Amino acid sequence: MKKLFFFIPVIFLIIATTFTKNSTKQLDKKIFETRENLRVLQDRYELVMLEYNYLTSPKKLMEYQKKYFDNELQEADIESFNWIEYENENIKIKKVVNNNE
Amino acid sequence: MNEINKRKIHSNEYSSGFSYIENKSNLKISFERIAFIFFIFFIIAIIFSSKVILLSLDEKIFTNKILKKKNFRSSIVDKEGNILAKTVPIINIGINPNLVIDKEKLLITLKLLFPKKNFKKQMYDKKFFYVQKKISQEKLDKILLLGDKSFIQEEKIARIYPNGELFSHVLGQIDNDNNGISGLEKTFDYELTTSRNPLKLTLDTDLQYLIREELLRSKNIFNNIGSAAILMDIHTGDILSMVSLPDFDLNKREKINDLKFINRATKGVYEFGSVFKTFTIAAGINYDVVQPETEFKELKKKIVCAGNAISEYDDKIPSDLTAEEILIRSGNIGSARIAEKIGIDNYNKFLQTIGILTNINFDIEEVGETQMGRWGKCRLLTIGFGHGIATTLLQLTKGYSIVSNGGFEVSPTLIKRNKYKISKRILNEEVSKKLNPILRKIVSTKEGTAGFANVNGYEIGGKTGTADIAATGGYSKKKINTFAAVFPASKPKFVLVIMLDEPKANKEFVYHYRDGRSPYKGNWRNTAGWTTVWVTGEIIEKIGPILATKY
Repeated sequence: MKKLFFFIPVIFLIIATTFTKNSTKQLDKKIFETRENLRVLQDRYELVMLEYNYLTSPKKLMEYQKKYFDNELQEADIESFNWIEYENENIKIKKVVNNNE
Repeated sequence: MNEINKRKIHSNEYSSGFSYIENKSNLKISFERIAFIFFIFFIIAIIFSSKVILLSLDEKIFTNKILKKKNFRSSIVDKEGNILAKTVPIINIGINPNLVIDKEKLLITLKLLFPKKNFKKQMYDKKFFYVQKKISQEKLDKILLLGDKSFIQEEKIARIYPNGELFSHVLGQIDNDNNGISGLEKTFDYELTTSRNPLKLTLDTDLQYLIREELLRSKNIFNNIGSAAILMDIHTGDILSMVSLPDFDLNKREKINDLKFINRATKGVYEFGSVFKTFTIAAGINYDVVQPETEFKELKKKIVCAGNAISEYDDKIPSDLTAEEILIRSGNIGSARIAEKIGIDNYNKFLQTIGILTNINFDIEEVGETQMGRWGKCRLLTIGFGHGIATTLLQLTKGYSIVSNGGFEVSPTLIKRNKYKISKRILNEEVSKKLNPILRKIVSTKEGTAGFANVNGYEIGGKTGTADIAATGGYSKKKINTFAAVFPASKPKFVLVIMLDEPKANKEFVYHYRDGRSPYKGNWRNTAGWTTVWVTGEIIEKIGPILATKY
């Protein structure tokens, strides 16, 4: 009887471990595949970002401005800009730059 | 028969002595053995499990064991996540002529693929040669379709800098073996080659571009040999822009040995002159030796110390001035007198506290060290108005941050942090309260020397500095013109320090005053007020809207 009480849990644990290990192996495989896919996508994303950053770099934007919008774009006065803030359902308007010294 | 019986009897007696009796104690021993073995395995399992847990908790042990990857280098991005440096895999393709079966046929095919190239000579040599470096995927596919075994592919990496020269001094360069050799590429070489996460900087590409453009424009106006600018968050120490001119295109991968390409923002050590007067007043307030309203009467126009004359740059400066007026009018003699009142020990301690006399711990290795001779009575007087001490623009920026931000410790950095620690107050709270309004007056009043920086809406405060460049046995006529701006002066957030190296007065340049006076042409004065301050005004006008809306 003592033997039985000792061996039944051991056998149960061995079987349980086998099933767990098998299922984690499948999970590991899926995780690995997902990670690899993510890595490839990340690499592709970074390359697209590189291209985007190059084409929208300040230098390029200034070039486009001269090339396509010469005399069309006008500089806006920063003092004409305001911040709109919501405070307890009330709207507050604040100057972006404060000129009252 | 008797003998037989006797034997039988004997035999019976013998066999009875060996009869099998089940010994229950044997089973008990084997159970103990199993339990013992189980116990040993249990202990081993605990040891291994605890080691696994420990390893997973301590990331450093794990990451330190990762070897540097040869063909890998993480990206460097600005504070908005824009890529400043990225490594892309490239393929170089070459031919080993010894493996070519039909050279004539291959030459015809190559002519079709690369019409502008001629490989005839190399094909009949026995040495390996490159057909195309950094080949496009399209052409590579066409070559691979030929199925010729003589083609050899070489996988390499190339570092791309989409902004060219914009961040050259900060980012630095790498060599052909993927080792960082200067700038952040060198300092963070290990992190960049082992971690997949990009290195995030505090720099802002838009601000960097605008500041660099204005510095380039100033070169055309004032014909300076170089210039530098640092824009920093006064509280966190985050550097938003760091420019040093001349710079170089990182994509060209040239060897930079010429001294003119020195990083003037961090490595170049200069006597900055009058910008130090701010520190003199600040030290006086910090040690309660002077107050802005403290009067200095009968200030001489010239004093002599150890045979060297100290004089005012402008004889029109009145003889009776308060400490505040001394700073606004940039008086040399008055500043020397304040320094005298502070004393060597206090002034030395103050300059150490704000990081002028201590080595700065920065993110790139190209950092200069402050140079000054021994402290003495005359040295104290000259340092009082910014001569006899040479330091870096970075340390000057740090010093201005501390005296203007309420006296809190600041460590300039280029690396974006996730958490910011609460800084320790290292100066008297009164220093910034009393100093910032004076800095504002230098820009906003007629007596001040920095009217060209009075850009509407930004409350610029600051101090000018015009210093002669030291030459053998004295000083030359060449100048270092500096302006340290702090804004908005009522509640400072940013410090912008601009330096022009050897500017010249431009008599043809038309100055437009910011107070509405009619334009002026024919300037002959080669001082910071007529050069660097004007550039600073132009820069703040451009970057101001970004700072006001984004930060």
